[in-house]
Order: sequence, then C-alpha cells, then structure tokens
Amino acid sequence: MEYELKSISLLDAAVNLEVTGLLSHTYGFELASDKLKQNTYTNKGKSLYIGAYKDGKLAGFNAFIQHDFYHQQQVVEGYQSCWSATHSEHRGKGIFAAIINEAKRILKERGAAFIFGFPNANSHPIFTKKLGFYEVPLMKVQTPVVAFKFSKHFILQPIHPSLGIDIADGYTPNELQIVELKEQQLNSGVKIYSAYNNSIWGKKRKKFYRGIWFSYFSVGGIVLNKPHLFSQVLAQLVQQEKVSYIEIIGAATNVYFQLFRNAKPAPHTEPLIIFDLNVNTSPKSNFNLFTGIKDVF
Amino acid sequence: MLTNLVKKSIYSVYSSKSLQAFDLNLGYIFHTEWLYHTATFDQLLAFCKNYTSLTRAKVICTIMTGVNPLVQAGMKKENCSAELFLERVNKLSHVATIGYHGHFWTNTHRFNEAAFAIHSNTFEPPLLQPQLGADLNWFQQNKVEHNGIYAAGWWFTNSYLLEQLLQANFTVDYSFSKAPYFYNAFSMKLMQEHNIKTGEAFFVRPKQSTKRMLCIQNLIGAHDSPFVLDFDRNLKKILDSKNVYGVLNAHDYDRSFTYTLKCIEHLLKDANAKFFGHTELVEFASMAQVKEILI
Repeated sequence: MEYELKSISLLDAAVNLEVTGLLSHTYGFELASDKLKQNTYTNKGKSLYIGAYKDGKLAGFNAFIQHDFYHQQQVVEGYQSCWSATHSEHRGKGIFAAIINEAKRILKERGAAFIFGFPNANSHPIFTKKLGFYEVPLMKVQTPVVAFKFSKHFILQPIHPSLGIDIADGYTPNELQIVELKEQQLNSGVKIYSAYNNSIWGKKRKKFYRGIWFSYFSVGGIVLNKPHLFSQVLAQLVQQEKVSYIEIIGAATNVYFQLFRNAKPAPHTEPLIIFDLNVNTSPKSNFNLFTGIKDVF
Repeated sequence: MLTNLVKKSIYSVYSSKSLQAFDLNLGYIFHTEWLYHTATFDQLLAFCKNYTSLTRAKVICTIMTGVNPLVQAGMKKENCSAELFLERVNKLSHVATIGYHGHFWTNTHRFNEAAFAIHSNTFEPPLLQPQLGADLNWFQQNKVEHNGIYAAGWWFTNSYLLEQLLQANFTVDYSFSKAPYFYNAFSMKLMQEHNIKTGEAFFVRPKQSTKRMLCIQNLIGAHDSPFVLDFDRNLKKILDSKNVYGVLNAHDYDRSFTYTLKCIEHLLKDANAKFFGHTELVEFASMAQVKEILI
C-alpha cells in the first residue's frame, strides 16, 4: 500500500490540527479543535487514533474509543470504531479497510477483547463483508410514562427478588466511564439518576410528531445491581424529567431488556457490529450495552 | 404503604407474640457514618448505653474511617478535626464493638454521587484496592482495632473483596442479607446456590486459601416506625427457618432511636428474642453445623 499507517496522538497540537482539518473537510462542517478529543478520549487515555499518510500528509483517519467492559468479574477492553474519514482525493484506495486492519493488529497485541461499532449504510457492508465483523441487531423500548405508578406495571416485567438478572457472562460496559466521557463535552445535557444501587443515565430530548412536540428521555445506559428495585430509579427519573415517554435502544442480546415488557426490534437503527480480537463471542453473546455508548449519542 | 389508620386496625388483631415461633438470636449493628456530627454522635453514644442496659449486650459499630472522602467532606463541613474524630471513635469503643464499614467509589472525586459508588456490577479491582488500603492503614496508624469485623457499604461484596479482607485478617462479615433492599447480585446468588436459609451463618473460603470468613446475615433494618408490629410483619416475610442468627442494622444518622428501643423491648418481652454482642453471636452462630462455601 502506498499509504503509511501510523498510530497518532491527539495530545500533539499539530497532529490534532491536521486531523480536525481532515474531519472538517470530509464532514463538510467546521469542527472545533478540541471536539474530537472530548468525544473520544476516555479516562484511561488509551483510545487509539490511526492516520493514513501519503507524502507526509494525512489522507485518512479513524478513531477507536477505549471502553472498559465487565466480564466474569474482570475488566476487558473493547474499542469503538468511529470518526472515519478519507480525504476526497484519496477515496476508493482502500484506506479505510487498511486502517481498520491496522487497528486489529495493534489492539490484538494490546490484549483488547474486541472492536465494535455502529456503522452507517455506507460502511456497514465493508465492515461485515470485507473486514470480518459480525452483526448484532438492536432492540428498543419506546413507552409512555404518564401516570407511572399505574403504567409501570405495563412497562416493567415483574422481577422476583430472589432471581435477579445475571450479567457475569456478558460484556457490560462501564457506564460511568461513558458518562464521564460525555460530560467532557460542552452542554452535554447528561442526567444520571440513582436509587437502591441502580442507576440510569441519558438525555432529555424533543421530537416533533404530527404537529406536536413531545419531550422524551433517551436512555444512554443502565447500571443494575438490584433488578427487583429498578422501578424505583425509573420512577425518580419520570418524576424529575416530566417527559412523555422514554426511549431505550440497545443490543438485542442485552440482558437488561428482561426488565421491560415491550422491547421490540429496532431494524431502522444502525446495528452493533463486533470483531473479536482476544475473545470468542458470537451473535448470541450478551452485549449489555445501550446506544449511549455511541460516539454520536 | 399502609396508612397509620389501617395499621392500627390490622395490628389490633395481630398477635404480638407471633415471632415466638422462631428462635431469634440477634445482634445490633450500626453502619456508622456520621461520627463527625456532634448531635448524631451524642445520640449514638446514648443509644449504645441504653441498648446495653436493656439487653446486656454491646452494639457493633462498624465505622467509616477518617480518610474516607465522604467522611472527610463531613468533617470539613462540621469542623471536626482528625483528632476529634479519633477521640469519638475511642469513646465509642467503650460502649460498642468497633468494626470496619467500607464505602468505595469508581471515582473518589465524585463521592457525593450515588452512581459513582462501587456496587456489585461496577467493580474494578484496581479502583478498589487503594481505597481499601487507605482505610486499613487508617486503622493501623491510629491504633484503632477493627476486631476483624466487616460490614459492606451499599451492600457491595464479592469474592475479591472477601479475599482482600481475609488477607488483612478480618474474620467476620456482616454484609450478606436476604432482605430485598440489602442483597446484591453476588450475595444473593451465593446464598441461593448453597441453599442458605435466612439467619443461617456460613463460612466463605477462597479456593486457594486456608483462611475463612464467618458470614452472619443482616436480617432487616432497625425499627423506624411507631408500630412495633411492623417489625414482626416485615421480618416474617424473609424468615424461612426456625433458628435465626443475625443482626439488625441501621445507619447512625437516619433512625429513630426511641422507636428502636421500644421495638427491642417488644422483642425481648413478646418474642423471647435473645440479644448478643459480637463475640457471643459469633460463638453461638458457629456452634451449629455451619456450611463452608468455596468462593
């Protein structure tokens, strides 16, 4: 390949400037110089950034956000592929695939568990057909929360106190790490609610539907320690936010969907894709993640 | 929730002696978190003395240490110096058995946000270890004896923490419970898999270790209602065997000590309950055939 692939650091001001320039050019809007770092640089400082260079100039770029996942009482690392960009003069030359393959090599050596992402219609076929990623569809719960004392019985599954929801074998992201990442961004709007060792976080949003504005709470993630008491934290959220409905979107294999009665497939949402590095997962593995983990949430 | 009026009606026909069907062997444990708060501390001291005069047993006070970020924030707010804090611990040790109450965070700078507490599913050894180490160091440096007693903050317990505590020579744990508001994913699963009854003590032992920890369960929270029979009704919801060894728990800052003492009087008089201090409770709880669970 005629391009040189390099792991680069956003802490280097000159590199950051060059990357920001490429992203602005590719996406067609001016990007603030600190936006990329705020969006991708998690607390351990291990997020990976790869640039493709030709004649010393940046031609392609991809970020890989480092996320901690709890798995069998251990912490393993998953890397989210995002912020893909190829300069218009260099498109069609396999830069994107080359960067992903380079990331696979570097991250496998680091001991990372897997790479994941939520590709759009353009990159999805490349990931799944050329780069060996497999797909996990998404599910969603979109439910009104008016008169919650009453409606909760239609929203939530009754969870027997002694049964619980076992997450040990799944891959459960460190939601607090995600929250802190989101909070780095200006006017993040992130809200966290906690009660009885359970937490729920997300953002209040508005949707225009049939001539009316509806406010809803888009759930970014859930931390669950006492499933049978989950309704208490949801009640707190509903009371504080005064929204019409809540929206929860996550991997179809997310065990937390057991909390809800009316989870449905979300075929129009960008799916989760996974590439194993040092673990063996399958489309049936429990990825207990919600869309709050996405870089664009 | 039952209203006072409904409760009055129900309890007028509810037997006050219904707990006599059980052999209740009880202790009383505080999750002691507000030692820096003068009024709370004074009430706690008075309660410990009253409790002992009623039961002839000592309260267990598991304490958060003076280096815990939440305690340090409280000390600053209440103008409580490290010396005064330590003086209070020493005063308390005359009327109660001291133990360790651990509270840990995924980010210690965000100690006042519940979401950042380490619970069973937000556990990460590298984050826990320095916080536990700092607490244990505080006990050692200040020559405060924790008596090998541990009670979990936020009911967070798991095999890693238990192993660390065993290595630090802790011998008795009061973190397990079958009460729905107390147990967590780890503790409930462990008790279920080994068919542990409510109020049944058990040992846990790491597979690679010869040391083991005696786990005595928390039953339900201490009493905080004018109706003492609330306590009986709630306790019976989780009782599934006749012989019960366990502790009633409370924070030092959020209970009515008056109602609690009234309830203890009721348990002594109407339920023939026996109250023990830590040493006796350990002795009696481990006299029966006690299961050993490998973790």
